[in-house]
Amino acid sequence: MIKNKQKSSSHYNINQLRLESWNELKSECSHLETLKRNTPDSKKQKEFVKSLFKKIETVESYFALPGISKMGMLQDMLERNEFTSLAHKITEITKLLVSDRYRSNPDIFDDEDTSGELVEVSGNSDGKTKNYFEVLFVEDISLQEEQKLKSDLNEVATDNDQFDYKIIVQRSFQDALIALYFNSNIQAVVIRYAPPFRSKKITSVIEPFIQNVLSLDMASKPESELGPLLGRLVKKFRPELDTYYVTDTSLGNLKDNTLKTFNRIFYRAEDVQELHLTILRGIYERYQTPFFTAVKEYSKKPTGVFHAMPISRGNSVFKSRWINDFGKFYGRNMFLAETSSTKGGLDSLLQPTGTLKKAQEMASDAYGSLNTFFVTNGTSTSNKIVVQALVKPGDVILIDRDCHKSHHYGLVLAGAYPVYLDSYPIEKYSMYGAVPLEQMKEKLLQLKEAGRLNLVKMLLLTNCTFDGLVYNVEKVMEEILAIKPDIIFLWDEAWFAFAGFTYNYKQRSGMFVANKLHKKYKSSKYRIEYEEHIKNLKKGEIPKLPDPDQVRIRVYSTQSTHKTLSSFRQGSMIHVWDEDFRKKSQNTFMEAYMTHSSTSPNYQILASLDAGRRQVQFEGYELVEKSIELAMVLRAKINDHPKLNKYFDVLTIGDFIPDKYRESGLAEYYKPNVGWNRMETAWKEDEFVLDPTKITLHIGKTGVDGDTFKNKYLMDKFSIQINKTSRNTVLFMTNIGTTRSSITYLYNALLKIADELDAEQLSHSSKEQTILKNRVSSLTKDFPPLPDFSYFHSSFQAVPGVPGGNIRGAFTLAYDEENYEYVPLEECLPSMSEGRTLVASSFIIPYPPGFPVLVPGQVVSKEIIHFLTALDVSEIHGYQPELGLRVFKDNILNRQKTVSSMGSNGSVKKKNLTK
Amino acid sequence: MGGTAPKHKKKESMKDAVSWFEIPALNFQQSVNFYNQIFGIDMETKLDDNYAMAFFPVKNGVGGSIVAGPGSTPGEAGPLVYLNAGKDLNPVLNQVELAGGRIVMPKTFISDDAGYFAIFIDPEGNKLALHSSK
Repeated sequence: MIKNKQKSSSHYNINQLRLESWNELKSECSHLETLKRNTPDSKKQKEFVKSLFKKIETVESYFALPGISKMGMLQDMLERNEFTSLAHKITEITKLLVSDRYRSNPDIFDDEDTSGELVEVSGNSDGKTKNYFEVLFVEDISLQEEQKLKSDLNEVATDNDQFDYKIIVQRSFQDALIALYFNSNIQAVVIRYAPPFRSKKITSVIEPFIQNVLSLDMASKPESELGPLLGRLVKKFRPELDTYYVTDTSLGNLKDNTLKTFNRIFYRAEDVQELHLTILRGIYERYQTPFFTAVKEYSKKPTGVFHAMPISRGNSVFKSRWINDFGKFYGRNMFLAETSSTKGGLDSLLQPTGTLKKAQEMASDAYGSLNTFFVTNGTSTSNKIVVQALVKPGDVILIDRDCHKSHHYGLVLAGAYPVYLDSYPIEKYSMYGAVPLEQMKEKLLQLKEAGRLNLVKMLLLTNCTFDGLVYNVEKVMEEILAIKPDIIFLWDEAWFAFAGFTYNYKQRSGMFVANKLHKKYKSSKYRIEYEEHIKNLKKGEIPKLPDPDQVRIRVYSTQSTHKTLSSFRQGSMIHVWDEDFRKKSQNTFMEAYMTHSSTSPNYQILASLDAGRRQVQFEGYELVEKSIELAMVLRAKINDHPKLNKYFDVLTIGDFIPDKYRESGLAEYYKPNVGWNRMETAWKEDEFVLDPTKITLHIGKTGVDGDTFKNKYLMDKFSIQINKTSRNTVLFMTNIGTTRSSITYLYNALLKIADELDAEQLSHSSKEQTILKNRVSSLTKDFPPLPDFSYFHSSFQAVPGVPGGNIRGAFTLAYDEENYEYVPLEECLPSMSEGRTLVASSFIIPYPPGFPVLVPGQVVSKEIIHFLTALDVSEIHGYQPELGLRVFKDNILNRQKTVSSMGSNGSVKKKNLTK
Repeated sequence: MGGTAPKHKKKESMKDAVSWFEIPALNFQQSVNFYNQIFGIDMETKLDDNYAMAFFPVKNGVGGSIVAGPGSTPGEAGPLVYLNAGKDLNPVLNQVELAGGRIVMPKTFISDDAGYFAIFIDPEGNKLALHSSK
């Protein structure tokens, strides 16, 4: 059932609202300054400015800077009619907030002579820049007590401290959560005693942005429980933060999970200095980058290199007469850091015991896994490692057919029998969606029926897809585990490494859900829910909840850190949340890891994974939220501009996801007249959601196809690089490196392209106009069908009519050139209509879309031939147009047939029974 | 290696070339169910700590069994055993796919003297033939 109650707001997030409010305040104060004092106009304007202060006051109470006392001072100035200096101050504050420069010098707001020009970077006694953060204190205290706390903490801070922080006090449970939601500067939380639940300051201004907070109702809980409960919620929303609890409850009376929730528990008796040092220590520990630091230290040591690697320390480069430009380009550090040593602080990736072990443990904490492994050859390798580690020849894997090619090759290596799952097609835009849960269940039940459920090892899905479709990970895992309680999930999160750092996204990531379901299934509450569920099942109905006595949580995620977070190219991670890892998989996993990993892993990639981990732990939340915000801004700008929407449409949720998979009814993120639809409910409930940072632009109305638009327009004219197109779309992505100026650049480029297209059309002759019209019509109205996976030829099927085939058998049969032949594409259909079964002997992978339309052993269908004929891309791996499709010869398809020698020893002659 | 060539023995005939056959299985029960279904029989089973066996019900003549346990690995390569499918193999063959096997050669005429055969792969992946006179 679709619910049509959408919540919306005029700003995408609080940050937009906040900056816009300051800008408004700035211009209204400037206006006030120009009016003659004490005139009715001036009085009216003063009242208006007052109302703006009122509006912004609540928002500002969740930020340490400029801070509520500063806000009070500004309002006093307004009262005293000091309009000129008020306007000046507000201009400065706005400038500092917009440019973010206050974080380099947080004390600037305290300075009475605030001036943007006089910004001095705060530093410690070594003159190094200090990193700034904020600490959230949660306690119902008076303003005076707050001031006292601030000055006490100020007193114990010294110039030698590595970090600089300010505190922000919230007086209720709800306000603490709102502050965490709004304020990404918060790095530590100190909960003191028992905060009351309800906020006294929620206004309609902030309400649309705090849906996740308002959906929690803890009012009925006793106040004494709210402190520990808040600690647990902080760990759920922002697990990277340090949490401290100040209480009077004696150690003996503290519950175990309270002790586990907090990094440290304080008693009132302990002094402020201890608290200050503990906060700094927590930040210091998170700041550590064991392997990156080891590489830096190593590069500083004088060493003589008497083993492999002449490039190490730049020896073969800087002294060279012919390649020293190579050295100059990369700089000395790159070469000083290059070494094949695994000692001297460095470590061996294949058997880590030191800095790499520590770095991977820290990554495991950051990404919420039980084990994390660094991989230096990209997620292609990570995928192959996981499949080989867990799947034996003959085991069955349920896998989405349009997943990355590395999986298909992984299946060949592992000898797994793939059961291909078809994503629903989005023919209008020549792309695929994702696999509906119903289809997965249907295939699983078919296998159960055929007595093959015991062979099913793994469900492998791409989350999110290249185009940004995201599964309901929790629902998929729950309902699949209800049928097969020990199935292993491999979530290919190549495009989704960033998802772990903001709440809406996180709840659809493998590691978060694994942890959540593990806790859920262990609880006694779940057991009751399960028993109730089973009792109420109708006859023949399939359970939707897994049996708590049988279920095992075994989840693997592979992430291309380099795609969405900071890492050098090929930097990838495997995250494991497998409760049977030690018992069942560790040995085979390590063997598979050794099989595929280089014994000379690139240290710079490894160091970048380590540094990237530090980044997400400090600013992951902020940067990911910002990249989503920028994507939303771009979506809105293209939608709103008449010149742009003449040629381009930003495809939105409704274009990608059929209604039946969107229970919330959310069809678009932005609507010009309404503003921003809130996405919280959809991300919680819907079967599929669309990741807004993947922006697909439909360009059919330009009459230019996707590939040409990418190369001739975006790349050649504007040096804008994208990597995915379909027949009539191009895909833009925002990430944590996207800036406002890059968004503006793209927006301007699109405007210029639109101008150019306008000009071109004006100059067209009538014949050219007809040609263009036909092209547009072809791109917007003719949709080549997208073929589903057909089926494996019977000689490769495990059991007839039951999905799953021997892809490795088919792949290796093609090693012998006698076994296959080529059939030109145009001869395929006639040959098939004469009754011949054509069976692919190789992968055939067109780019785009980049997944196999044929795999070895798969029967060629008419739809596939139509698709290949209509395809207008130049790159098709595994297919040589001059030769045709590479298919198995008939005798190979009949290879299991034979003759009978029975009776041939007498007068009866042997009869050849094969073709 | 030295030695002398073996002396030519008198050409002798064997009574039966086969004394016993065994069909390997990994999923024992699945395999037993399959043969029970296609032949319409009820195989007697014997289990111990390591092995599970099920016997084709034969009174006189060559018998055989299904064996699951260490060293008993199914496969489609290697010797081909012809199972006696009675007078006409069709009723047995018709059950093969229903029971989870796969027919790789339909009923095929060999000769008037030798009769007919067909080849199938059982759910465990063993390749076997069926034989009948008609």
